[in-house]
Amino acid sequence: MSVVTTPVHLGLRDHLVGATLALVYLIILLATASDLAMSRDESFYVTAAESYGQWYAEVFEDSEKAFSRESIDRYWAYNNEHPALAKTVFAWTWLLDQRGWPSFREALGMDPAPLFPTPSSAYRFGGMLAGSLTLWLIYIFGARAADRRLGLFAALAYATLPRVFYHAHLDAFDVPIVLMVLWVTYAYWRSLVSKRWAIVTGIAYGCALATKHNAWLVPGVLLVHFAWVAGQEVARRKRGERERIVLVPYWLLAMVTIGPLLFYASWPWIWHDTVPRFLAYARFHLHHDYYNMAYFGVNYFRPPFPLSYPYVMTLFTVPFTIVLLMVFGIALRLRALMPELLAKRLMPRGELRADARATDVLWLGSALLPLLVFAMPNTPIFGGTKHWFTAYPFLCLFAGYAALHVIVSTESRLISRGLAEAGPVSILSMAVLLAPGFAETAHSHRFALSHYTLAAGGVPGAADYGMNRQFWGFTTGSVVEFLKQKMPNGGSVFLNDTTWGAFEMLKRDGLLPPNIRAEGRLTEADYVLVHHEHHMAEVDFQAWQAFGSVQPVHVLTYDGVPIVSIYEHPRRRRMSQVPAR
Amino acid sequence: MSLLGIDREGSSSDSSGSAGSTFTSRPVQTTISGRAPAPRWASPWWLLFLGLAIAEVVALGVREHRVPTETDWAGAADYVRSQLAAQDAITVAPGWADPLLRLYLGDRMTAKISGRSDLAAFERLWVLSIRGANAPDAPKRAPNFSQTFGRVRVERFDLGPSKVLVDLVDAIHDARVTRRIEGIDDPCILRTFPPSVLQGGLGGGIVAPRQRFQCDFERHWLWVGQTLIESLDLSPRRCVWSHPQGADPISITYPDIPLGTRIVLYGGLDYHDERDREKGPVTLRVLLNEREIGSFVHRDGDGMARYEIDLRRELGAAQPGATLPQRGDLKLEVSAAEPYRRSFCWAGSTQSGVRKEAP
Repeated sequence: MSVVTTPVHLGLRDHLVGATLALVYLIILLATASDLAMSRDESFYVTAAESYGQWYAEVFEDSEKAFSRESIDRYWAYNNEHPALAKTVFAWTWLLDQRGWPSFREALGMDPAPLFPTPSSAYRFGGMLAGSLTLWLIYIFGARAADRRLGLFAALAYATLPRVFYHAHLDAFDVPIVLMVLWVTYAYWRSLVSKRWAIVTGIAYGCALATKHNAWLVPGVLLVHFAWVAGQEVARRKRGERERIVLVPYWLLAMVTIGPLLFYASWPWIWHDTVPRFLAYARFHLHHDYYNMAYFGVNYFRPPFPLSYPYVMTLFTVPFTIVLLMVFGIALRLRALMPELLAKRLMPRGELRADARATDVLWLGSALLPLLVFAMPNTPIFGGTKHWFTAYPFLCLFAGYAALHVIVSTESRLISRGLAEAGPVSILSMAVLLAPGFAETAHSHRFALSHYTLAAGGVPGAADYGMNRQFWGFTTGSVVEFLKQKMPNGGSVFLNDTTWGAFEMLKRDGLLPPNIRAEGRLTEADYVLVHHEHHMAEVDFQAWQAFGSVQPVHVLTYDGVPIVSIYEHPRRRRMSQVPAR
Repeated sequence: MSLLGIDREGSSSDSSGSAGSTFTSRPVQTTISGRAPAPRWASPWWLLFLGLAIAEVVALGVREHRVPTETDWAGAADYVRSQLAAQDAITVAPGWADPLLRLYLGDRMTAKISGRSDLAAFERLWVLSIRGANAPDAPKRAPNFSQTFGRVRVERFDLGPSKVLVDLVDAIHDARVTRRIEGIDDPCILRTFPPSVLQGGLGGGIVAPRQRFQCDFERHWLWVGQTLIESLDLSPRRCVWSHPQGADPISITYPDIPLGTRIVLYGGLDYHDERDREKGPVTLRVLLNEREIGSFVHRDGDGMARYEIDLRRELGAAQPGATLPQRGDLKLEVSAAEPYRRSFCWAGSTQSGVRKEAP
């Protein structure tokens, strides 16, 4: 027997549930975004978005000029190591915020105020939207393939993964690519029984290619899965059973035609010198620089990287309850993950059979591939967990199976004793299972890249293990109040890992006064920031030498673990010692 | 796998061509998502997940509650500050709490304490520890003093009188520094420079001290003086910067210094220059009154390596009755056949013997 109660038909009600999930998440993301200063990579994409946005503005003003090679090269050369779709969305929301919406308001006789509360949220909106839509899609995929509660649980479990929640705020590609890969996978899965979904698969794949290079790996999973499914289908047909799967891979045809076309169309940079520019893009990622990443006390800066990295980091950063549910969920579906003959031989007493589309196999393949890629010794690991976020929706869907077992088990035990109604029990059980995610995510906010969960012993436990403390320098946002207090009349700050663009965004957002400026020379700055990462220790030592003291004036901590130290220039110290007249 | 019920499950969604599964053998209950039978696998073991989830939330609260407060740190620091003597070292455990130690006690700490190679120059060690951690360089015995301040424990280890006679890093300004050019030792003059302007940051290099022996004004890195490097294990090391110029040595001579019975040296390179483990070795020769008493080759990957010279053995004074010279001219020569990015930096001392603990 099965725990799942697969709905016969998904309708408007289900999409309303999905949309509500997405909307609530979007509101929460918007409400909490200003707590997070921009990260390094975001600041680069802001520059890119502004450049691309200017091109789009030119398209409306002087399209002939805009489509000239000179114009395209001028506006699209920046950050040409990444395709354009996500940055284009950031550009559009920026244009909407700065031009479209103010003009619209003006036309209505109102003051021409921007749409978003802060400039940073205008750039970030596209990322937040992608994160929110992902929940909708997880719910629909889970509900359609298995059970509504499974879909709901999976969506909420994904939403409350602490690091996912952080990245979902950003104008970056790591969360949008999750949406795209999930969309491709879902559309492909539907195309196995419906030809028209092949077109959607092609469109989704084009968007995925245009979002981030993870997309290049997706066909590998789909091809293996399709071979599996087709093999089973052929065997069934030979046995005289009715047709269940479309054996012609229309989806593949769509992916190899629509996909590259959309990729090309969305990225003006490759409209000229297409082959060399595409090859440069490919080379950038095939020979990517290695950056520093601490793992169990070792600062890894070149291959070979540890094979255990993605698994341990997943264990250490995903709420432990959810990790166990993921593992148990996969174990529960083990029989459906095998070819039928093998399942009969290895688990003869079992009744669970794979569905015709081998959904479990598809989900497991989609979950494992990103993890396997980042377990390869030559794959750079500098991005922490974000690079295999594409695995998480599928792992959360498996977690949903185990969660359903818990929920139904609780329900049946209580109901059979007449102790409770099914509804409240079901909701309460799900809430309890999701509580660690909610609690950890709430606690991690502002410090998500420093956050570690129960399996690591929390933040201090991870520090004991010598795990990476943070990256991208966004925690500067958490010392803004200190800097303002120390420099009421302005001054300068050495930013360490924070980029100039990210620092300037704090000013554009109104969080930092304009008279506090970034200083590129450590010895000349009034205050020196040190973002604590293993390999940043040298900046501490530089400050000791430059200022003749090992004493910071401020240490920002998270759960007692140092995140940012701030050193004060002796001249500033002397100034603060002069009694005010 | 009976616990999981896997081998008893029915088919999933579209295994039979239609959505849902069929259950015929047991009574059906109505649940929030529709009908579901009273499952055979419905085991109380599944409820463990609910317990785990609750425990995980509680554990988060406990972790937050256990974080030492500012009052704890300040109380511990105030006590140590009130007891601190001139030859005391201070450390913290675990090591990641070092910025907090320096926040609260940094006014009483110097680069000599934070960048020490060992505890030889110190007579007591104060350890502030949290989470029950032990300092790796503390003696493996009970402390001479221990008191807790909230969640911060303060321990003091009495190490005994220091055997250090001359700290060669402290004494660098009393040394003579030369560089050999075409067989002639050319003096490097000790000068006081204006404060250096340093770009800083990752790979931003070290800060040159204002007072240093500049050996070549065209090669700005060719100087000798006190500094602090990030060693291969990413820890701070206070040392004498002696970047080799090539096969011809840079020499640092300490004239007529107390010698004792042994010389302890540490040598290594800046993290960025050593971590790739691909560049050539650096040779450190040690001469006493122009006689070689030790020669060490530092290879990438050695980190801040310890070199020890037993003067009794090296000077043939191991026999009973033989005497060691009390004083002498100690010279260190640094050379490398391939000097590119050989940011060699060393520390050391002459010592009158071996202390039982923290030698």
